[in-house]
Amino acid sequence: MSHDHDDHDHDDHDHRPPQPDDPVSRYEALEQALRELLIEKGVVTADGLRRTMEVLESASPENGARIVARAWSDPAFKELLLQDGQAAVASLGMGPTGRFVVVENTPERHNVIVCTLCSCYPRFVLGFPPAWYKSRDYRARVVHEPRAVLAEFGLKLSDDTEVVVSDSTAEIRYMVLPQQPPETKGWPEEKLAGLITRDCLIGTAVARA
Amino acid sequence: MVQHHDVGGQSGRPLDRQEHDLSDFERRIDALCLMLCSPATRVVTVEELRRVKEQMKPAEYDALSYYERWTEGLYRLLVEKGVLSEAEIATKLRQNAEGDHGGVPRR
Repeated sequence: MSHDHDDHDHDDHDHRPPQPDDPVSRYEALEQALRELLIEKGVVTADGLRRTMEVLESASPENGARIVARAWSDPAFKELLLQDGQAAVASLGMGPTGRFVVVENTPERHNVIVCTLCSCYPRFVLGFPPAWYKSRDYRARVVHEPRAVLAEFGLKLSDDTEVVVSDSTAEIRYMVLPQQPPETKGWPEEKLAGLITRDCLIGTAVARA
Repeated sequence: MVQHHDVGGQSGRPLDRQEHDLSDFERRIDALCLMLCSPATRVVTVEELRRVKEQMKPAEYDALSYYERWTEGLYRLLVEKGVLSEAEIATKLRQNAEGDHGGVPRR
């Protein structure tokens, strides 16, 4: 994993070691203390934590891309996916927790997802949400000025495209089914999956061949 | 009443779209919370974890980063539920800061 200078919002370019009053090191120490005490008391095990981290790491937008590639290739799967997202992805061996709703982009309608209250996100298919998804600015703005927000991602929608913003909750997680670029009809699923990025599945980008 | 975390519809700044790889600390606290909520452990619930974060004072909510809120929230919830005590957490923090792991005295 990279730790580039620019990967954090606590800008600090002088490479000083963590200080005792440093907010980051304070919470790192608190996490360590809680974790060690919970292991000592047998509430959790170090092994269980390691496995949980592996599960967290194993989810990535590649799962979402596989789902979309299948939906583009198999009309019956697509129908099931839009009707009952959990059942559809269970048939691919993926297990969501809670309701999983897939919203379809069409020539007339573009979808984008958000969690205005915090950070709900279909992590089992997309992995960890990007920092901007959790940011106050995205959560606040995308529901009332989605076109302006999408334009910041370089996505300019025509005025006659309807924009639908779906606000996730702890009970319902959304994912966008992007439109298939027409020139990719008939491509094998593996090649189609390569076109589908994380941002296509959030709705801040469209799939391009 | 609209609570502080309920920001949908408010105005805001242009997005900071910088990608951010999670640090080890962020992955660890995420996994710890997930495991504590899991059906097998079930020491806390997702709803309780959300409540403690949403109950933070606005200034505190804004001052902490995303996973700092998770850590502080988990701390408060574990104390509230009697899973850990403030005293034992303070002792553990002090021991770790002094490099004293496992109760072995060091000089």
